[in-house]
Amino acid sequence: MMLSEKKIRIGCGQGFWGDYLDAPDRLVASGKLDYLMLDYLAEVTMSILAKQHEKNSDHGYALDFPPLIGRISSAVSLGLKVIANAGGVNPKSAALQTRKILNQVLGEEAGNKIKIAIIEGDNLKSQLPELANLNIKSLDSELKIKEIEASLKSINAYIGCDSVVDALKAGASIVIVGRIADPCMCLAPLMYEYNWQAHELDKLAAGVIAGHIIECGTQSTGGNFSLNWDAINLDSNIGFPIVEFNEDGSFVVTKPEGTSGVVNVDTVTEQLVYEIGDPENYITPDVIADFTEIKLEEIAVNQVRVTGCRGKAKPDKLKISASYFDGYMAEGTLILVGPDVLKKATICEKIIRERIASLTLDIDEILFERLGAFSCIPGMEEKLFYPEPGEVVFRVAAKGHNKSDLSKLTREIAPLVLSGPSGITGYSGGKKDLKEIYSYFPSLVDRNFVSTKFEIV
Amino acid sequence: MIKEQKTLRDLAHARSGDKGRHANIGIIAKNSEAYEEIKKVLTEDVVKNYFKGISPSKVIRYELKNLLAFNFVLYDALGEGGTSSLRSDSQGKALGEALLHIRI
Repeated sequence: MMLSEKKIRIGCGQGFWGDYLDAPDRLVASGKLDYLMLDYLAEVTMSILAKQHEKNSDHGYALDFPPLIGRISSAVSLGLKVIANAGGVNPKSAALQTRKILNQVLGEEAGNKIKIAIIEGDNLKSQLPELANLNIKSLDSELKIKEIEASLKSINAYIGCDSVVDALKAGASIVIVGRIADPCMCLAPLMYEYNWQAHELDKLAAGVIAGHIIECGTQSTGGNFSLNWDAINLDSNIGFPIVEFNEDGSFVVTKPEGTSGVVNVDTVTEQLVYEIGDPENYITPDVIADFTEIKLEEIAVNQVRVTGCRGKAKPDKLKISASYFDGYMAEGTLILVGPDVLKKATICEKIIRERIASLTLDIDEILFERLGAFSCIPGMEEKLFYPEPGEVVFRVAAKGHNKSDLSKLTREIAPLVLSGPSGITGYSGGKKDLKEIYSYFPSLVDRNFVSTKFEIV
Repeated sequence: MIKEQKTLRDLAHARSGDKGRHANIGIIAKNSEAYEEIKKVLTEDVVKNYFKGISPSKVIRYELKNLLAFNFVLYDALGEGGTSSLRSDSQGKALGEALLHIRI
């Protein structure tokens, strides 16, 4: 059988909103990419963007994105295509600002040759009354959408590839999406380039699995790697990941030459098992991928071939995620210096608890941590037999709906510097500004409820 | 001293993260003997008990023999989820390292 020789290279230049700003520039300069994928959205991000959009109707997208495109504009002129979920709750403004910057950098004639598409339909806020009537329930609790309707900040469906493929067919060089399923930013260009059809499930699964491997940036190239981590010689030049595809759905994970980090079977495996549920049923809008027959093989230094990706028919329902205002969080820290830091921490905790009781502060939940003694996971401190540390960060975090009482709590930490045990320093908390909490509401909706379309801006 | 005792770190490496209010811990065995040993000793109950401080409602272990790996899903282990948890490790990113400390 003749197989197409056409290879497609897709790189991921942002693993989250907050990743190295110049990583895409470096990846584009040395990665020989056909496509650049940029992942900005975590579960929490949509609520932040929705809040920014309320304050300024021109915001609500990843503001880093348009200047980034300005920096890689010459590569885009030469044919590089970009797919990014930078649109947040306002892809249109993201596109208009990107257009403005492109035209500034390249001049209007060259700038206007670059087609920018936005995808709409993931944002379900205008359909909220209908959703509430459908009596949709959280996947995680008994909470119904009706109960959070008044405090709801954002609600989006995780959409699939269809409209991105349509936008690429229409000649778009930059596709700006809101809440797309992350790995679909990798699958969509493959469907377009290879004309993969909906029934070619194993190929679709390969695209999704590749997207999963690269969507967290350097987590597949040696970052956050727990096996012999100090043998990797981590430095500031870590390479961002690239997948090089063949039409048959096999692909190689790699990174640009001349960068640090490592791509091997172990780094790729760690990322494969990251943030997944049932590995036989990794659900995306376009295909359900099965990880249990994947085969990894190191074919050269920093090159891992991936085969054996299996797919099952796409689900009838799409995942939706909503965020809603759910009170305030207060936080403060002190540094306790030894000896006896753990005993000192216990006394500080006791004093604060007594003060809360005597002031009758209305607080829903409070947590005390002794960071430095493996206390960032409750219950772990007692299990791990480390010698007592010479210092710990004593952290108090509390939440509730009574804003005034939480503010009062923030005043209860600093006095311990004078009134508590000896050796307390570094008072940095009691942050005067309480943080607003936006809780997460995941659910499912019939896929027919969601319709997406692209628009060239 | 813990160093003289065999721990999961001698047999495997790990990565952990969040899925809403649930956490996942991927455990990757260093070789097939280690995989079989982990399969025998690192049961759902053992992991649930080890993390009882964060009260998972249940723990499910999935096997990926092709990758010599296991995926543990710890249901309801992140309080109300990454966005509203009070913990410093609100997204469960430290759970993998913590589990590698378990004595075998």
